[in-house]
Amino acid sequence: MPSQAAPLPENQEPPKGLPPVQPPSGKFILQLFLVPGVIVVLAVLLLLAFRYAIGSGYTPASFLRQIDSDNADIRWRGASDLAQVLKRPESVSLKTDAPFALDLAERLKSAFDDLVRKEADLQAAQAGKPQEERDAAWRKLKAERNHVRFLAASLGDFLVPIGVPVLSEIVLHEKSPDLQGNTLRRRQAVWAMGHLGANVKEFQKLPQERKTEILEALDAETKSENPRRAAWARNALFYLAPKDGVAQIIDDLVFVDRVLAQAAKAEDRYLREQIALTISFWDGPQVVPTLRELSRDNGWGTVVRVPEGD
Amino acid sequence: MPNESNQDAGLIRRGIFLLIVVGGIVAVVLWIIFQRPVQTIPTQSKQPEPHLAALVVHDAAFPGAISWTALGMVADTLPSNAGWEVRYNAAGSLARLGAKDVPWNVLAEMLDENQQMRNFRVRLESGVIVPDEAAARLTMISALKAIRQWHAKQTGPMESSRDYAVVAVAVDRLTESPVAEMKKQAEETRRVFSKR
Repeated sequence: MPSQAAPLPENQEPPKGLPPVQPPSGKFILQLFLVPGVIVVLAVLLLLAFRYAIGSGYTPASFLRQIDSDNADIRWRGASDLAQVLKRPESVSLKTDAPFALDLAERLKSAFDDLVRKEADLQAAQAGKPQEERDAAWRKLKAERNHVRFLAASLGDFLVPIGVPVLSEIVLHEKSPDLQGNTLRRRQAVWAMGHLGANVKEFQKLPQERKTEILEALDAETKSENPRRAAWARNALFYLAPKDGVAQIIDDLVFVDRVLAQAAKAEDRYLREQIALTISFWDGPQVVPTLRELSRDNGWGTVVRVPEGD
Repeated sequence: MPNESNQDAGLIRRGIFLLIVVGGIVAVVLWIIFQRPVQTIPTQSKQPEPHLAALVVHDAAFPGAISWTALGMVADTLPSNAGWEVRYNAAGSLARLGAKDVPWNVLAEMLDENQQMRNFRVRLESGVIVPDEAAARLTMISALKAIRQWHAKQTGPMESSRDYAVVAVAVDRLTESPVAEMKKQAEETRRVFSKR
């Protein structure tokens, strides 16, 4: 607080004690609060602008650019970012973007096929070599394995069940030279299918206009020149807007209940435990019989322990 | 001069008083910051191994070769048969779907607190094996919720199987639980039983 001594008359000693105190001026009070206030407001605006700049970078095109990168590490990190962003509640527009989901499903399909082929090649090339050398060779595929895992997890977070056919393929892929990697992949794919089942119910809660837009986008994709893309779009439409008799006339549909019923015969006990939970999010004639079967499970088979971070 | 020294003495007294007050406040704040809630470690689970070892009586012919007392005690220490995780999830799912033939015996087992304490066990850093009470109770609460959802989807006549009656008794027992959340969930579930 400012204090000012009163002017002293000539040849007179200053009075003892503290100098007289004057009340602060309005200008001083203003300076006291206004200047720090302006600094804080500027800092907050800067932070918001920074967050907006970062946030607006999360577009389908930017994710696809990362996922298509030549660098395997950038690819899987892009897929990892996408898996995290899709879990945010504000990512609804991303989660309902059917063409984007189809783009991702195509990438997952080719990444999975590549991985399976590379694993088989590696197994053949490493036969008879020392264990350490083989382990080092397997580690080289880590980026590819992560890429597939994160893409699969991302597809499970969409409100449109585009990922059903590709995820089903992963779930039913039993034979692999990489036992732990394949076990983990299958478990995550089952989990992603459970998420998709719950999301199909969430889709019904969207505003009617948005639902119509999504269904129209899917319908347009069913006429795609790419037969695989068209089939996946038909599959998603089957689950989002079921019509009587459609299942009988479309022969390339993938039925989740059938896939999970088949996977429920797997030796991996943990996979069966997951299926006992996730299958209930889907409709289909195989759901209740599979659950009845699993409710009598005697713990046959084995539990593959996958180490943390593997 | 005496006036000034009086003023100084007063100042010192006030300073000391202020120091004591501030010291007290600091002590209280530090006590609040560093006070950690005391975690109650669950009591060690009964281990089945000693009872299993005591099952066989050497130097005796059947039926004396089996310690029938130990056999009875083993039953109270063992977890459920292998595959219980799968069965529990399946039974819960069937109930949530409102299916016709829910395996009530599995749901009754899920509501058995002692059984769940034996199923969910964790090994502490000290090597002691204790029940994972949170996981056990979560299973029981999910069973209670599944039973309510099953009831909400029923329109037909009331279920009359023996296993269903066992579930009703287990729910009744849980309404006496000392765990507030368990008691609340059990009471809510009992209300749906009495509505039908």
